[in-house]
Amino acid sequence: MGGSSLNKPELIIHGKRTDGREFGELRKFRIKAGIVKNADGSAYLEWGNNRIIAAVYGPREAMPKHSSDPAKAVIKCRYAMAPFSSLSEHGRSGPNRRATEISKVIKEVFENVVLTQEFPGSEIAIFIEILQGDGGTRAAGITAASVALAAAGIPMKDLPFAVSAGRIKDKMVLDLNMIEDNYSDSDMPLAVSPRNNEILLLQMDGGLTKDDLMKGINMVVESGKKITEAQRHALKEMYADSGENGV
Amino acid sequence: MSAIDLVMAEHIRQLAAQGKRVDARGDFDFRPISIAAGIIDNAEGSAEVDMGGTQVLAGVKVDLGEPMSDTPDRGNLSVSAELLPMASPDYEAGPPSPTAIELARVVDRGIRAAECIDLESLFIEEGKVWSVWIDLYVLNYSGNLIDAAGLAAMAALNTCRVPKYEDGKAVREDRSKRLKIDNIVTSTTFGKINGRAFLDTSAEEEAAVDGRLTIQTDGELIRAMQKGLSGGFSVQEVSDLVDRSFEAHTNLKEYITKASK
Amino acid sequence: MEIVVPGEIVSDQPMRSQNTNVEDGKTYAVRIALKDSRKGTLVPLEGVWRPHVGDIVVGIVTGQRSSVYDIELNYFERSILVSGKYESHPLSPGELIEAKVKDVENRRTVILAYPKSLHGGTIVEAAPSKVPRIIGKEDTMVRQISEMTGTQIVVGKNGIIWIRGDERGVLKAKMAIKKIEDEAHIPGLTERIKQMLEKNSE
Repeated sequence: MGGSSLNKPELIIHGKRTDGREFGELRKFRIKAGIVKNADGSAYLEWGNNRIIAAVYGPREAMPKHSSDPAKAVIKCRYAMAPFSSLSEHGRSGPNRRATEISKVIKEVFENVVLTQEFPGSEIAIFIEILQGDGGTRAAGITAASVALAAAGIPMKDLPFAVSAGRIKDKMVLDLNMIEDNYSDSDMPLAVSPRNNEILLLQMDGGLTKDDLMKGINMVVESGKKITEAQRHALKEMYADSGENGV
Repeated sequence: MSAIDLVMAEHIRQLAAQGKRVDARGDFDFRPISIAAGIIDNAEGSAEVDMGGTQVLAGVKVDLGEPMSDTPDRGNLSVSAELLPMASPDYEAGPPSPTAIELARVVDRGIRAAECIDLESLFIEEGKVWSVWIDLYVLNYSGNLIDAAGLAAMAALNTCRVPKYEDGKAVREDRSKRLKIDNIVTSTTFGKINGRAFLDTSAEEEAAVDGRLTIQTDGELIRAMQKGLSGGFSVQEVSDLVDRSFEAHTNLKEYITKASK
Repeated sequence: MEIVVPGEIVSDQPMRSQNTNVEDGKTYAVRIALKDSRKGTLVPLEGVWRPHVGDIVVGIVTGQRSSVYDIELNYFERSILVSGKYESHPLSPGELIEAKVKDVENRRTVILAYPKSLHGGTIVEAAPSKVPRIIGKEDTMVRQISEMTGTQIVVGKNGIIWIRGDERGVLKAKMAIKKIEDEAHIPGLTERIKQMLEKNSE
């Protein structure tokens, strides 16, 4: 969406996508947990050409004090794109309207799974920095932030993952990259709790029939198995290195 | 949220468990809706919506402007929302809150995705286009801001006129030309209370809402969706609510077309 | 022992255990933890200190307001000690103390009692989730480190550890604590720490 209709590229050639993927295929990705020393938990995610760091602090004293909730921890989230993160011009620093909205919906995803009532009066801060963006950054940010929260030892019901689905002409495709996102007919990022496949984030624009929608949701849910496995693996890897040296 | 709201919310949750609403409405009924279009003469388009006490005034200005660098052949559309301090004791003056930004962006996405305005028709000459500014003024909060604001924006656009272009200037004295509207999008927002989804939640119900799902449609396609708040939705629920949204479209569309006559 | 993460099933049966959540008759982990299948417990690998009555903590006196001392415990809520009841002498800001958690008010404010001043020495911070391993079963681990390095050590449940001794001893004790933090989840820890301290004393 949003791209010019001029010079619209062909996004599907001979039944494959521009980067050679099948319609329901995720980009290659790699997660590493525990990379920001100062943070209580962190994760680095390479998702296609996306490069993302998520870091978590807390539970810690809520600042300012009046922002705290006597019944539960408050979750704060900052999603921001680095000024050098896109192929186009230098971006403006500081959160713009888009980033403010994304920060809000991501915060709401984690309010669902974090057991906030265990830490009344505190705050849990989630920082998601997009170092390089190539489409699907909010979804990738959520996948990374899940790992960062768990790495911080924060109690949570589940480890959400996120990925987008979209429509290119008459085909539903999974995990749109930047070009696909710009010229697709619809884009729909979803965050899912894999424990029960509950949808925790859903945004969409463009045009979808109900059949398209259900197909897209099912593609995302199906892809979750692989993502969940990688998230769990990244967390367990944190304890693997020292093991080899130690014994 | 006040202590009274919390007690009320608990009551609403209990009612929801029995499939009841505090105002005895059906699960998928809107509250009474009225629209007054064209009420701000200075604006190129305007409409005030009252949706069960939530009042949103949408004002549209059409100005001369420059195209965005990546869309040199199109006019511009911009949507902002203001939660006026008068609209609720919980609203404060200051820069737009995340709630206001989300509201504006969700309404914007529906209009843009449904291609309600043909932005290419707003092209004047190289480097010069019409910019359409929609400002959503929330005058009173009584729940379900998104649907009320969406309706107000659409109704205001539907009455919108474009100034005459002469000698490189906008001549606002002559606004005989209507803004071309190609499609009408409507918004339905469902609040999930105690595991059950209800359309058009009131302010008191919203104190009990865990999760929110907005679906915007033009009757043919789903044009935009937004899940809000911490509560989740099952795949089946999303599927059911999409059907409800399509059902509500015809009725909502009629409000818009009637208002602009 | 196996590492589990949030959302992972730890049992197909409902289980009553800390750090788990039962849904639809199944038990899920809610924190990254070591699962002890035999005991049916999950021992957290990360996370902040959760104060419990009886916990021994190490803190720093930061001030006195009317009749209470404020104590810094590296905890996100206020920690206080009512003055004039338990201490042998008036405490002054900056003073290090060992104390016991007497109460946790509204699940928030930590109320301390029975302070003992800790003179001299230094402090190190450790992840609160690793403190049980640093202490060891019936204090075995901390006693081993203390004896083999010739230091005095007080391990606070809040992750602040006080050490006093000669320079070399303190350094060795710190290294041992760091090693425990890094390898807390790997079996055979006591033996490895012993070996390390023996090697270093050569």
